[in-house]
Amino acid sequence: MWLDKFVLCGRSAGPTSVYLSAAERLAHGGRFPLGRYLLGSVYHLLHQVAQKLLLGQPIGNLGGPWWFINMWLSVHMHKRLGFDVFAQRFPRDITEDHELDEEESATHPPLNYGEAAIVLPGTGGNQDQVSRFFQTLYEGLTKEQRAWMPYEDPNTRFPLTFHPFDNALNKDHDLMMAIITPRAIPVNFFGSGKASNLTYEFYNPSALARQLAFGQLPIALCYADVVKPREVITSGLEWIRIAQLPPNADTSDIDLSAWIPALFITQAYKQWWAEWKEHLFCRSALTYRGVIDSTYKVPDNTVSLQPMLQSCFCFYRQLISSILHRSMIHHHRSAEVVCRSTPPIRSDFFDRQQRSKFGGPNAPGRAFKENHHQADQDIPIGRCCCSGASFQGKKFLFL
Amino acid sequence: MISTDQPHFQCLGPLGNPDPTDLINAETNRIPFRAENFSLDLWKDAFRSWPSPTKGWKDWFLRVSHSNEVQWGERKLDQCIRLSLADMERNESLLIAASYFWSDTLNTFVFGHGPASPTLADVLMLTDLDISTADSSHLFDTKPSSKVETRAIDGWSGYIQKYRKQDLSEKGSKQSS
Repeated sequence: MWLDKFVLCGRSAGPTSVYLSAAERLAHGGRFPLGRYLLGSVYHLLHQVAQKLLLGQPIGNLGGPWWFINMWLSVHMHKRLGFDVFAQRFPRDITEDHELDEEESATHPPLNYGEAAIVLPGTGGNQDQVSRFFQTLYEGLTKEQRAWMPYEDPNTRFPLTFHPFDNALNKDHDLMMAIITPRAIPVNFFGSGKASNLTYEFYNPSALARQLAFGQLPIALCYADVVKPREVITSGLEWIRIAQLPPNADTSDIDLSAWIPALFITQAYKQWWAEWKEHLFCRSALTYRGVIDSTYKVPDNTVSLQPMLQSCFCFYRQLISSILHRSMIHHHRSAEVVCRSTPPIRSDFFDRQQRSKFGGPNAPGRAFKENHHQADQDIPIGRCCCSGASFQGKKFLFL
Repeated sequence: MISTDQPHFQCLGPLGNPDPTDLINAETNRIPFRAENFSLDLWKDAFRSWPSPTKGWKDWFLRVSHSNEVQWGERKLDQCIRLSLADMERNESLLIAASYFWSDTLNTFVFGHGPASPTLADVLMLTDLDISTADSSHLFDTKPSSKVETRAIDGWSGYIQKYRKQDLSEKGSKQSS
């Protein structure tokens, strides 16, 4: 019941026997990485939601661990939302009909981050709130509000948790390896689930290096050329093959002994993200706010200015690209439409630039070439390597 | 891992293509907010399975937790089971707003301040569930050996009424975990 109702949140919102075999296995002492199963369901739930949002279909009742996503978002945003995780109160172990004395409290200080995060306050769903949160996330948290590694407890105020990414954790090799190794994680893998639902998601820790106290590189998808995402699994053997599939990255020579947790971004990542960001967030957040919340009045000056500049830029790029290809493209549409409805850049344009400049589409990019002369060619793109690649000190941007 | 010339600082590989052109072309319009389907009507039933307080659950928990504390600790279930005592408030607006930023290719949210997503470290810190055991003894094809009545018993509270009386050591504790 705990698994069904509180952890994986079956969609029936009532008792089922879907999770019974998992519960039995746990009860009989069998060990399996339930935490990975949970993360698998989290990713899969968000995948399903994203698909429906793209198509404009109702989300419907998918079930799934929204509670965990809620907890994670609360913790990720706690600085912005003004939550003090240490000041929360968690229910005590008292029976439901327990009568409290005058001085007695029904709660106690939380013992760990989970207990603190789960009692944080919530909000209902309404247009105004959604649009405000949307604007915050769209524009991004300010530097002071970011909590890449929210679990900092320098004064050890939570007795039941260790100080993360410090002594206890980074000395625990197995745990740390589990956290930083890319892998396929199972979805809907409980004995009596519908066969067609069994699938998997990919866990890409390198995309989230900052959250794990490492330096952030441009993101690589290490299963992209290895296996298709979210295929249906039809037999146990098939799953074992997928689970053991090595990612397109070498994880055998990782040595954590000399590692010091430090989060930073590399110059290469900075440029990579700046370019994507420019295209992804090319309209003003306020314009979206107006779409989400029909009562929100979009200020005239903000709306017209930014998208226009941005779309002029997109337009300009598009123009160059078309001239280079000597093709006649008629730009009769408004700049706004060009920005929204065409692919942001013509890849062939850049490929050509790249080829002429760097010798091939897969050659390491400018960021490495210009500032880094020693080891760039030794770093195969899309592969891990532990030695032989050293970055120059100037490239780190500590956050 | 990719080391840096500052001896202890490490980047987490693999290193992606520093030129994001392919990603921009393939992925930009797959981030849900680009489709602008913002109607809240789409979200009507989305949170129906949100865990709500159930009468009898807390008492049941207290009864079985004493006899199972050690076992739960060993199997790394203790912290997570205990979380079910909280009557968690949903931050629905935040959940809805954040969902528009999910990239299911990267499996991250793509926020204005950069990609971010729950990781196994978050699972560990928030729930303390087991994340490192090898997944060889998969649950595939296993059939439960016992049966529970799930229909016509009036939802979760009826379920608790029905199964609470059974012996601590056998079904009560085990099915609760």
